Amino acid sequence: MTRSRLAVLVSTVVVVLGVIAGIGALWLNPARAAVGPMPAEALVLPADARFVMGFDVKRFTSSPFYARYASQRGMRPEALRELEEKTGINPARDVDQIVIAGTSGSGAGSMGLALVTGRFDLYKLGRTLETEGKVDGYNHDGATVYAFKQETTPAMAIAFLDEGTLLFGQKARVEAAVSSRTRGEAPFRTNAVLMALAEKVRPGSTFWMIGDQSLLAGIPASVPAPGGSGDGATISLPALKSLTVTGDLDPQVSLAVTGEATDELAAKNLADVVRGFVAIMSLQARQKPELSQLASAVTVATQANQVLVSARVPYELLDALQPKAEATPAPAPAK
Amino acid sequence: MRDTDRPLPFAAAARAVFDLSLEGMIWTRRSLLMALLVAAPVAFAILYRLVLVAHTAVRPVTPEDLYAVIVAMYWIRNVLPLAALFYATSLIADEVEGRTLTYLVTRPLTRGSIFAGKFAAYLVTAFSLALPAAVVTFFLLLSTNGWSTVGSAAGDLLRDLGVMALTLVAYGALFALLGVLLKRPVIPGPMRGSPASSSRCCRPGRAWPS
Repeated sequence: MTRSRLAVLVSTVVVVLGVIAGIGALWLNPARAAVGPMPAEALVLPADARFVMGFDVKRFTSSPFYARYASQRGMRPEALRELEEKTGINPARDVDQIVIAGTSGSGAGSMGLALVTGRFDLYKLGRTLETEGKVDGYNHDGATVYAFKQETTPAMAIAFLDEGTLLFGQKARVEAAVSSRTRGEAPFRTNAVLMALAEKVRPGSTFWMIGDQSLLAGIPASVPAPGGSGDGATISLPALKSLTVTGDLDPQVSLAVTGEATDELAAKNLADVVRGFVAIMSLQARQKPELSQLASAVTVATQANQVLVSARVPYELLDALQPKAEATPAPAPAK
Repeated sequence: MRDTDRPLPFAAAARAVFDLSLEGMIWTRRSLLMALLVAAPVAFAILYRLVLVAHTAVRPVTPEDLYAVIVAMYWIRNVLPLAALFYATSLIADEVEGRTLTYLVTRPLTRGSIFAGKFAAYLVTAFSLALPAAVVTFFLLLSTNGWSTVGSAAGDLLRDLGVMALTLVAYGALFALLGVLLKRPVIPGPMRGSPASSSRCCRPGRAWPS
C-alpha cells in the first residue's frame, strides 16, 4: 500500500469511527425516546395539559447564574439545606430535571402534575415522610404512593415511580399517571398540540414552557397603552394560538419567546405592541442608564404568523440592575 | 486482446488517472499547508478544553456555539473554498504548466476520463483532510459537557460532514472549470459569490450564535 493510500485509509477510519461513535451516542442517549426537551418519563403526564414547563436543574446549578447568585436570599439555600437534612435530597446534586404540567381547572386544581427526575434514596425519603406522620403510604399499580393527610382540596400525593423518578401533584392525577405507566401508556402523546410544540423546543434549554390556546385564553385581551396618561386608553392584544418560551443561563441569560398568532397581521400588531413597551423602556433609560442596555438586549421580529421576542442579557448588566446595597451610615460623632 | 485504436473504457481510464493523480496530490507541500489550515480548529478545540474550561468559571462561548462558528464561518465559508481553489484550479493547469498534458492526451484516454480521474483524486484528498478534522473537533468540543450532549448533537455531525463534502464538491467543480477556462484562475477565485459565502446560509444544524 502506498503512503497516499495509507493516508486516505487512516482519515477514512477516523471519519467512520467518528460517525459510528456519534450514532452510538445518539442511540444510547437516554433522551432518544424523549420529545424535544421532555424526558421519556414525562410522557405519563396528563393528556389534558394546557401547558408544560421544564427546568433543567443540572444546567441551572452549573450555570454562571447559580454561581453568582446562589448565596442570595431569593435562591433560598436554607430551605434546600433543610430539605436535604430531612429527606436526603440535595436538589443541586440529586435532581436532574423538573417537568410540570398544568391542567384545566381553577385555583390549585390547575396545577396538575410535577415529574422530577434524578437520583433518590427512596428508603430514606419514604421513611422521612412516614416518620413525620403527615402521609398515608400505599401501593398503587406497583408504585409506592404517599397521600398527604392535610385536608387540602384537591388531595395531594407523591409517588415513587423508580429510584430516578418522582411524581407530585393531585392524588387522582398521580394515581392516573402511575396506572398509565404500569400499562405502558403515554397519555401526553395524545395531546397533539403540545406534542407538536414540544418537538420544536431545542433540547438542552435550561428552562422552557409551552402553552396552548386554552392557557392563553386567560390572559387579558387588552393592556393599558404605553405612555397612557390615565385616561383609560388601552391596546387590544391579538389572540395567540400558542406560546413557547425557552431560556438559557450560559454564557449569558438568554430568553426566547415565540407566540403564534392567528394570522400574519395579528402577529405584526402584537410585535408592534411589544416594540412599544421596549421603546418605553428606552425612554425610561434617561433615569436609569442600565435600562438602555436592557432595551437594546431585546429584539422583536415576526415570521409569518409568529412573533419572536428574544433577549440576551449579559451578567454584567444583571449585576448593574441589582439594587445597590445601602451604604452603612457613618457613626455619629461622639459628643 | 484490446483494440489499441480505441480508447480505454471510461471507468478504467479514470481509475488510472485517479491513481496517478492521488500519488502526486496527497504528499505535497500544498497538502501539508492545507492540512495545517484545515486542522487548525482541532488545536483550538484542545486549547479550549485545556484552558478555558479548566481554568475559567464563565465561558465566553458555549462549546456548541463555538463548533457551529468553526463549521460555518471557518470551514465552509473560508478554508474549504480556499482548499478547493488551490487544488481544483490546478487539476489541469498544472499539467499545462508542466507541459505534461500532451503525454496524457496522447494516451488512449478520453478527455472526460482524465478530468474525472483528477477530480476524484481532488475530492478524496480534500475529504481526507477536512472530514477527520471536523470529526475530531466535534468530539473535542461537544464532549465538554458530557456524552449526552454528543448524543443529542450527533445528527448535526452527520449534517455538517455532508455540508462540508458538498462544499468541496461545489467549489471544486467551480474552480476546476475556472482552471480549464482561464490562464490565471486563482485571481478570480477569491472573488467568488456563491450562496455558501453568505453567513445567512449554511448554518450547520443549529441556531446561529449572535
